[in-house]
Amino acid sequence: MKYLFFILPMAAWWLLTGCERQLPLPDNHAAPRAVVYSELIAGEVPQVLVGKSKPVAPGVNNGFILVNDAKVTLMDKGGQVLEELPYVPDTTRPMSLYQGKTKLLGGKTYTVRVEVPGLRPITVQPPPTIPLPFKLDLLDTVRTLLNGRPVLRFHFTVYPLPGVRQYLVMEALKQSVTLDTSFTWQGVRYRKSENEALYNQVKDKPGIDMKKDSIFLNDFLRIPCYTQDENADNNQIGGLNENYNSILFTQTGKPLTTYFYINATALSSSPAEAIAPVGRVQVYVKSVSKEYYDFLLTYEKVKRNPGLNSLIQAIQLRSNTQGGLGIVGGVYQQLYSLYYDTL
Amino acid sequence: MLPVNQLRAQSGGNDILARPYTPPSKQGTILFYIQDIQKSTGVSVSYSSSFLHLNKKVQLAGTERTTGAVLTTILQGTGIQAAALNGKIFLLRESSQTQYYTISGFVKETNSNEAIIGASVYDPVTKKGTETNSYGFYSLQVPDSCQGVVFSHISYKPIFQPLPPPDEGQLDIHLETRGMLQTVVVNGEKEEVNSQPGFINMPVGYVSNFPALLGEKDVLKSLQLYPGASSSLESSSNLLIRGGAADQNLYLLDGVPLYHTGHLFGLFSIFNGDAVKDVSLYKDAFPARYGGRLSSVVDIRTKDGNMKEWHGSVTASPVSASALLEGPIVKDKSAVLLSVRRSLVDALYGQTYLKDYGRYYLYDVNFKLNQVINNKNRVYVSFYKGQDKMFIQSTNPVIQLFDDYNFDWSNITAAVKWTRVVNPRVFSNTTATYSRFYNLFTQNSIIPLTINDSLFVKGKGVSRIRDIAVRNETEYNVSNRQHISLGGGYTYHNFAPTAYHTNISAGEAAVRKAPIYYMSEVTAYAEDELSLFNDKLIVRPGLHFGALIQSSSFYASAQPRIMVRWQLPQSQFVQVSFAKMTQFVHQLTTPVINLPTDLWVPSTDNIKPEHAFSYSLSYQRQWSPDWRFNVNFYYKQLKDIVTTNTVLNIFDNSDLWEKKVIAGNGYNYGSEILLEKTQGKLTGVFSYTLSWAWRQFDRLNGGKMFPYKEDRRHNLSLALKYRINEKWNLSASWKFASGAPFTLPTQIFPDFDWARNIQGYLDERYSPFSTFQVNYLPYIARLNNYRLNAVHHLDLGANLFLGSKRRFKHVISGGIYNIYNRSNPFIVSFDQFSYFAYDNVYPLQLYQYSLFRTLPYLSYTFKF
Repeated sequence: MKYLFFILPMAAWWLLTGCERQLPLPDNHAAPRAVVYSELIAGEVPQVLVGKSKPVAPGVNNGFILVNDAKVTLMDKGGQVLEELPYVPDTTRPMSLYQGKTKLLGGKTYTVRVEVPGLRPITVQPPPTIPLPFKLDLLDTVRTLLNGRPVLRFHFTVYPLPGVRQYLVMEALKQSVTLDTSFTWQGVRYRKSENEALYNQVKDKPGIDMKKDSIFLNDFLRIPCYTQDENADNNQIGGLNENYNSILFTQTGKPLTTYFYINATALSSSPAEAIAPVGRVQVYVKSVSKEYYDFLLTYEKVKRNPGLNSLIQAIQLRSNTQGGLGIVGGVYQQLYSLYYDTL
Repeated sequence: MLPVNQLRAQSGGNDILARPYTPPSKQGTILFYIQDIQKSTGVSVSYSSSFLHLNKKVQLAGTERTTGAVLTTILQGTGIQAAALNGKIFLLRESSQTQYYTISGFVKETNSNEAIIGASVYDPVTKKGTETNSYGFYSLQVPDSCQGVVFSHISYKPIFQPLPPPDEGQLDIHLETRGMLQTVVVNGEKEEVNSQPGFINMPVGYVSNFPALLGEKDVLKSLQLYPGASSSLESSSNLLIRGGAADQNLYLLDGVPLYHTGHLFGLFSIFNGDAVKDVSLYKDAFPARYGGRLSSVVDIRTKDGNMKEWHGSVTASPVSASALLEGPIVKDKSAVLLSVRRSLVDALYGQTYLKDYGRYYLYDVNFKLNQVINNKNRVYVSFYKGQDKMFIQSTNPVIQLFDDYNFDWSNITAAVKWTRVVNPRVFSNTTATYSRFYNLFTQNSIIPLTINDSLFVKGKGVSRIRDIAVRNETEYNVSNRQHISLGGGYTYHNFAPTAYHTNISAGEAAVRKAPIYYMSEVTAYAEDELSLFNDKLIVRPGLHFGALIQSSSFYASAQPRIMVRWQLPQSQFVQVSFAKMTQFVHQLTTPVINLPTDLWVPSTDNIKPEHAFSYSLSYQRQWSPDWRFNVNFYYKQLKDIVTTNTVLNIFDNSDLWEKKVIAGNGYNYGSEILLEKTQGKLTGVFSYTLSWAWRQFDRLNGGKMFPYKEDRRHNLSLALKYRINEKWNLSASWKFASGAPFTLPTQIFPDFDWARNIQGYLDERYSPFSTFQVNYLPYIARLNNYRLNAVHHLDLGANLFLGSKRRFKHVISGGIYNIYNRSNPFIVSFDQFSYFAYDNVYPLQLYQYSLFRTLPYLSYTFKF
């Protein structure tokens, strides 16, 4: 229903399928840009994803390359270098990860400078301030139905910080888990999944210490979430009966008591179908910096409809990465981990 | 002839005016009383028949008892006085200057009594005159020295009517048609009187002059041959005027406002060419009586019905059929017209070519009753219903839909109009109207929740508009130099933009009431048209006032208008105009095609009315009656125009549209050239428009101006018709429009979720058609930074008229649309419009979908 808007143009298009023609993209001499994504989360170490954009020109495709030779620098508000983030090899990631050791603090402003050889450097403007800790009460959770869909309802109260406008983001992910065996051989601990040959070689030898363990993977499923709260800024994006990546609130002065719903279909995985992986459900309530909030608001619109056809006005993403693309946001988050699957 | 004041001094015989005389009756003609006075009293009465309407009927008060009293009564209002001299009575003009009297009446077509709009009525010596209004009425003051006036219209044989008129009262004139083969375009320049740049008046005969898509006559598409009028897409009836949006046009069907004017995504307009008499388009210099929209007024009048005899026609083509029947109920007293049109694709091809695709049909019904009460009063009753029905089934083989969809949208209008000749100088019409747009949508869906569980959704959405209005317009012809129009109206609006019901239990979801808006709109206007400096200068100041009243808000707007025209020698003039227009209702739409799901909403306490300030400068020259040239420069500033910055879901009561609307400004400017040949064997139109249309919203494009989606730099039309003989004519038209703006990403970069290994395709998350997740985000440096391919096509047509002098007539029309098989863009998509590629990495392209390639048409019309 929410995509009704598409149906009629699609019907027109449907009649036209015999008249499809591929047009060459226009020449574009623009240089690629560095892309940076980072949530600077209070209490955690900085993680920055770096990639490279592709100019839209003849021959372009949607494959992206990793950028392993970037120089990523974490600085404070005054431009004082705090550390240079080293590259972390990780073949499971579509973008290159750079990770530091500095423990990030709430209420502090950080900035990131990313230099990719051959590309314009990225600076973050305005630099994000990690929000201060906020008080959150989870009053209850209930399994219920919302417009016919099974959902899990969270009853939250978020308390305001005096004199501070809080930008709140609520979202839920399901993180995949795998069951693995670890074993110790000659004083070194190995994972079976990564050292299958060695495991087969030594598994029957005496003295081997083997343990089965659940390992959480860098693999997530976004769980659709909902709100019925007319104060939610999702009102600027779509209807309140639609599902969203995240539910967004701007809080000023008053406590925010709201129901946050997540789709319950994915809470537990079913072996009969591959809708949701086995894993744990991570429910986040975040206070984020304004620029990140603006990005998320436009990101919701783009995901709902990027407007890449001539029938629809395109949506422009907000960003604070000067010289490049992406977003660097400050986050203070509270996390609820729910375990429905047997791990 | 001596004036009265000189004669009085030497009369000395006023006693003959005091001579007792008792008229034989209270009613009679002037001549009757003069003759009776002569006969009864023996007094000679001397007069000149050249300035006295002897046959004018007059009424006595019954108290007249002398010759003078009777003469005073019967000569009242004629500018003639009785004077006694040397035992005689002289009937003399009141002063030495030329005397004027008023002639008025209706100009009608001979064969049908159909009122002729825009016919010229003028003194051939002085070239001064007027033209008939929308009801065929005219009022003209002529000097008593005038020997006669000419009644003419480009489509009719002119008539010279000697003056004074043979009878008292209205001077109704009947014009004979020149013959259908000679029907040509009229563009406000029937003669030199009152032609207006920025204004097009087109009789329906013109519509069938040129080739038409699928042979369907369409008045709105014919208007697009003229400069400043274009369409958003190839062959769309969606009319765009001078960079304005489609919702900025005020469409009036017999005076009833319409909100949705397209059939089949706007490919055809709802105005059935069989039923339409003519269409007028105002692009600038808006008369004060019009208001409520920013860009234009499209005033469409349907035929009144033949008052003399029954006629009809039946037209059939491979895609549609239509029929028309009109005739007198009581000859010369009342007439009725019924016109029906229906598409036939479902009936002819529903079981074959379109079997797997669903079903679609449309129909229109026009009805009009025209009742003459007396020669001063007339009542019209008109009704229209147009309907589209579409069904798309989920099992179609082309697109995997999860749903069956039904779309059902319709317009109904009804009007009762009373026209009254209050006196020869005052004409009034009072109209009560009803207009309803109703869009019903139903859906049967299966939404899988898990492998074993699905939601069976039956949904019903309704979007509705209802208007009830009453309006009066009065025209007062003070003199040939001054013409005053004034009037006002009241409209009750009832908008229910979105209402959705479903069988699904809301559960925890709040059940939200669909929003309904009740509003009152009040209008009033006054306008004064003045001819100065011996008609060299025409000045038309006016003021339109509009107010929208709701329980939560009140908006009022005074909208000044002015038009100044300076006549130059050799049928040339220069004209400047200014108009402020205010629009209280807004259409929220993101697509460029005309969808019934476009949402009409009112101004609220948060959303202000939109305003346009329109300036124009134009020059026109006419060579002989055949050729006309005009050039127009315009600048239009739009203020507080609204747009949505996201995609609206109109059938969701929880989708609060006010939260998604932003207001900004617009700037449209350009110039237009028109060269037209209206008579002769070869007739045609050449028009060219050079234009810019910009929009600026604080929250879009970084607050910078960007080209509006309907911005087209060049628009060019060339249409020619050649009449070979009475049976055959050939026509050709070529249209060109620069490419539409399109937002093309300058870069693509990894999607935020994809980059973090977050997958997400639960709950049909991203698209109803696919569970494919796009792995990139677009970087859009500027909105509308790219231009689609230009749209152009050459169409050829021919008409064969058979039996034109017989009772049964036949017309065969045929032609070829887009003869050189041009692929014009209808939809262009970056990446695939619907995702079919399942490879992780695939090439990105522009995909252009075209609507029509070379397409022949053929239709047959039988007339009696």
